This record gives sequence, C-alpha cells and structure tokens, in this order.
Amino acid sequence: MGAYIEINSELCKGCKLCIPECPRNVIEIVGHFNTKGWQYAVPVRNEDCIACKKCSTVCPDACITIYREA
Amino acid sequence: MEKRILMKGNEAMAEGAILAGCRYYFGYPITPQNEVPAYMARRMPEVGGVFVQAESETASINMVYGASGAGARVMSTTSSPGYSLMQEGISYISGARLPCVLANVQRGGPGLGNINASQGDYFQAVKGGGHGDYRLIVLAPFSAQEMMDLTMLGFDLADQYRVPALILSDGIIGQMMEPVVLREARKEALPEKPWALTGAAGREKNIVRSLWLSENGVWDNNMLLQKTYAEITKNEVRFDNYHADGAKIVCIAYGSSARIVRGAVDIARAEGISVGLLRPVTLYPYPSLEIDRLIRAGAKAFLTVEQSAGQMVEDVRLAVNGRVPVEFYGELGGRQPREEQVLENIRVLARGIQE
Amino acid sequence: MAKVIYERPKSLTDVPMSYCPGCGHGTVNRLIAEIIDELGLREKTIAVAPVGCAVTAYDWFNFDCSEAAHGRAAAVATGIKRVHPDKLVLSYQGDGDLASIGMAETIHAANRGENITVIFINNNNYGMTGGQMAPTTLVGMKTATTPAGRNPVTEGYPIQMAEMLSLLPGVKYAVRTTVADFKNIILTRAAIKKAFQLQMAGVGYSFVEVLSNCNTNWGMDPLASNKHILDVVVKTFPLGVIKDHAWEAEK
Repeated sequence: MGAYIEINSELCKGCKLCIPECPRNVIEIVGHFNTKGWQYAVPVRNEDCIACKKCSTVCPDACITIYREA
Repeated sequence: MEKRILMKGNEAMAEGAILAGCRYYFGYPITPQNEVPAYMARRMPEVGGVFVQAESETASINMVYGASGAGARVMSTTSSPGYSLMQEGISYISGARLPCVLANVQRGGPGLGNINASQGDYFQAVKGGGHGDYRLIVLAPFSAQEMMDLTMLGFDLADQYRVPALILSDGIIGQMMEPVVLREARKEALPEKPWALTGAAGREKNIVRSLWLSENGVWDNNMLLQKTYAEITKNEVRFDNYHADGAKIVCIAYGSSARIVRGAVDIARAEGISVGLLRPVTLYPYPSLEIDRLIRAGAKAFLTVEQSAGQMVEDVRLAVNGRVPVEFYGELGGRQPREEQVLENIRVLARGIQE
Repeated sequence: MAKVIYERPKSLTDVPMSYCPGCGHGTVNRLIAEIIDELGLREKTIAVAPVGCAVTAYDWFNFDCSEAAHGRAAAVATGIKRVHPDKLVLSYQGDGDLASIGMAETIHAANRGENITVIFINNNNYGMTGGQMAPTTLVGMKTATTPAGRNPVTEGYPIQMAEMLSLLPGVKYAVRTTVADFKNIILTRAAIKKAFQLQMAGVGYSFVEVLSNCNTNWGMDPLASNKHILDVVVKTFPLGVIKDHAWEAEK
C-alpha cells in the first residue's frame, strides 16, 4: 500500500492508546526511553500500515505523522 | 467661553472616561456610585462603545482584564465592598501588566458599613490591596472637575506605564454637583499596543499572563514592575500646595477631607496662624519629596486629617521620618471631620509651636 | 515522493504538551488545533486558558492566548469578544474552573448569550491539585477529599452542566461528547467544529462538554480509564446533543 507512519519519539509519552487501535498491529513499545524518561511507541511493522489514521486520531500528543507513497 | 455643565462628580468621572476614548465599561451597581453604570449604559451606545452590567464586581474586573488584554481602553467603577471583590483581578491585571482605569467611590466600612463617604480604603488602594508586590497609580480627586480631569489623566498614565490607575474618590465627591468645564475629547489615535491580543495575523502570538513556572520568570516580571514603579515615582507625583510653602503648620488631607481642611486653614490664617494645606493629588506615588521640601522650608508640625482611624498618616510619618511632630485627626464610620475641630487642632498646634 | 496524510497541526507549536500520558486534554487540544487549521482561523483566534492542568496551554497553542484567574475565563472571554466580535474567542476550562469557583461567570456569560465557545473538560475531579472532589464527581467516587466516596447527603450530587446551561435562552448549542475512543473522538471533533462555525456565523453561545479521563488521579492506566468513561461515567453524564439552534445561522 505504500503507507507508513513516523512517531516523534521525544513527544510520545508511551501512553499506549494507539497500540490497540491499529488494525494491522504496526505499533509497539520496544523498551527505548526518550530524554523525558518515557518508553515511546515505535512503528515496528510499517510495511503493514494502511494509513487508516486511527492511531493519529487517538494520540493525545499529536506526535504521529502518516505518509502515503504517491 | 468654556462650556460648563452642572454635573455630579460620578457623572463627570464617567464623561471624562468617554472623552479620553474609553469605549468599554463593565460594572455592577453599588451605592454611592450607581450614577456611573447608569450614565455609561446611556452614553456608551451613543459613542459606539460597549456597556455590560456584569453579574458581580468579580466578573467586572475580569471582563476589564479581558478587554484590556485585547487592547482596549476600559473602565470599571465600584465602592468599597465591591473594590474588595476586585482585588484578585487587580493583582492579575498588575502581574500581566495591563492598563485600565478603576474607581473606588469609598463608603463606610468595614463589611457592609453604610453609604456615607469615608476614606477607610486608603491602605487597600495605595499598598496594592491584592496578593503580590504591585502598586497602582492612585489619583484622589477633590472636586467634580477633578473627577473628570484625573480620570482622563488616568487613562493616559495607565497606557503609558501599563499599570492600572485608580480614582480613589468618596461618596461626597461622587454625589456632589458642581460646575464642570467640559474638556475636549481626545482626538489623537490611541497609543499602539503591540502586545495586545488581536489575533496573531502577521506576527508571533501574544500571551497575556502572570504565571511563569520556570525559575526566573516571576523574578523577571517583578523586576520589570519595580522598574516601572520607580519611573512612576520619579515622574508622576502630583499635589496641590495651598499656602503650605513656608507655613509652620502643614495640614495634609485628600478628597473631601481636603475641602473641609481648606475652610479651617482659611479661618486660621485670618487669625494670623502660619498654616497651609498640602493636598496630595496622587496618593501613589506619594508626594514624600514635597513633605521633605516643606520641612526644609520651615514646617514645624503636620496635621493629617482623614475619614478613617489613620491610614495615610502612616505615609506622612514615613516621609517626615521623625523630624517634626505629626498629629492626626480622624472621623470614623462614615462621619466627616468638622471644620471647627480641624481649626481647634490647628490652634493647639500653633500654641505648642510658640512654647 | 510520499504525500503527508496527517501531521501535527500548524496551530500547535513543537512544545510538548505537559499533560499526563494518555490524558484526554491532549486529544482535545489537538482537535482544537486541527479544526482551527482546517477553518483557517489561526490568525483570528484568541483563546482563554484556565487554571488547572491546561494552564500553560498557550505554550503549545500557536495563537493569541490569555491566562485567566481561576474560574474567570468566561468573564475574560466576554471582555475579549466585546472588543473583537469578529474573532474566534474560546474559553477552555475544567471542572473546578467552570463549575465551582467560576460557576457564576459561566452561567452569566451563557445567559448573556456571549458569542463565544466554551469547551468544558469534565474528568470528575480536580486534576492539577491532586484529585479532589469536583462538582462533577460521581456519587460514591473516591477522591482526595471524599476518601469514603462522594456522599450525596453531605456533598450533594454531580452537576450536569450541559443540561443546566441549556435552560438559558442565550445558549445556542450545547453538546456532551467524549474522547474515550476512536468513534467518539470523531464525534467530538465534529462538535467542536460545528461550535466554531456557529460562532463565526454569529449565532451565539456554544458549549461543548467533553468527558475525559484523568487516569493519574483515577488510579488507572489510560486504556482502562477510557473504558471507565464508556462503562460508568456516561451513566451520570449521557452523551449527545442537548440543544441545537444551528438553524439560527440561516436567519
């Protein structure tokens, strides 16, 4: 599908609201910490992303950017 | 020929605001200044301005905060109990460095008190009144004319220094009717306010605030406020010297007390007593340097006359700094000083100086 | 070349929001910014921030903002809107600010029909100060000042602000939504957008009450706290449109 997301690791607080929203299980917490001490979320299966925007809709920190290859 | 109108002090103050370009008034009824919201309710629509009767003085002062933050010349007026309700808002207005003109037409207190004139709110008015290290410019009219003129001055000073200006009046000055010269309406555009909230078009956003949680923010703001107050103290002291130059006895009084003292001074001078009246027009900044000068010019005693248990007298004592005696005559609870009593105090002082 | 389908709204700066992880405040702040971007109103918006967790919202909002004393935002917004009737003026408040200390200002701005939008974040407690009882605390709910649970005999019942304000003719649009799940976030977005559009059309006072979690003070993780809203909180605070006079825009 050519869609993928970026999560700003410094803005993400690891609240995990996005993880169960994703219908393709793209996002996980993998154990890395940002400079604020939060375990931020990471897109681990971007190849499965369908740009449905559910993750960015539930994100309280506006730290997700969604792309689609033209 | 100047146009003179017989006006109540309260109405002269309201018209002064309009002449100064004030187009927003938010207030709540309270005696003895109800003429002001009524006047504004009628006049503001005539000049394309806005009048809102707010639900309380608490709401009024916060509407003033909003309108001032939005860049407007704005006013609210009240009397003593309502002025107490405004203290929180005034602290915020001062912390956020917003200009506005307020008025307290004082009445008897504390608590609900009565509706007579008093001067029991001097401390509250002149020393800040709400929480934090701030002051307001305090102007003390003693006539209907000064109600108009000092209100107009208040708007200019408030905008120039970004501080609130308070007209500290009382029930007598507010209610009395005197011929008032109708001043010219302001013609120039209002001063620019690049810091105001007008919608961030073509500029960075503006924030009206008094909160800084970071280490230095509040310190920085306070330093800026103190610098402003130092400039105000240097430039904006105003007073009226009525035969006080070289007088051995100097009476000090403001507002309606000053009118009574003037009468006593006239009689005492006719009796040959060397006495005069220093009438502060600004209570903040206080004419302390003038008190200094009068001592060097020969003053041997001061008589402070107030409608309170003694509030301004503390500032007089501070300025005199122990050099000469400072006597006090006050009336409490909405009663006014009597001319005969002031005169008697002057005579006693005069005899004391001779001995 | 990849096309951007969604990115952080321009009406947010890149300053991180200071809310707890998972807090509905963040979601609503983001929605407000998205809508202001979409409607092209960034240069015409003046917002009033409350005292509460959103007190420094002006750090991440990229438009003119005013702080207000606790509870006074509706009066401050009144002052601003009277000076700038053509701007989008919104007041953003929590339980204490809007329904406790600010109750008089809230009701009277609504009663005057001030043409402003009030966004009310209802999370059933006073978050910033550590979770004390609010006018919206549920019966039986334990808080820092109701350790035995809210007792209606001594503490009264929770207040339904959207319903109460709707009694006033000056209120033109009143709705209660939540940001507890994807579907409801979409509905909240639509409600806020409609409120802003009504204001810009000059219709009058709009009120959007958003049920939010306060996972920290509720002692739950974000997902569980959102489930709590949908299972429990909505029983006291039903979702839906309480009043809608959008037709007045046609007049």
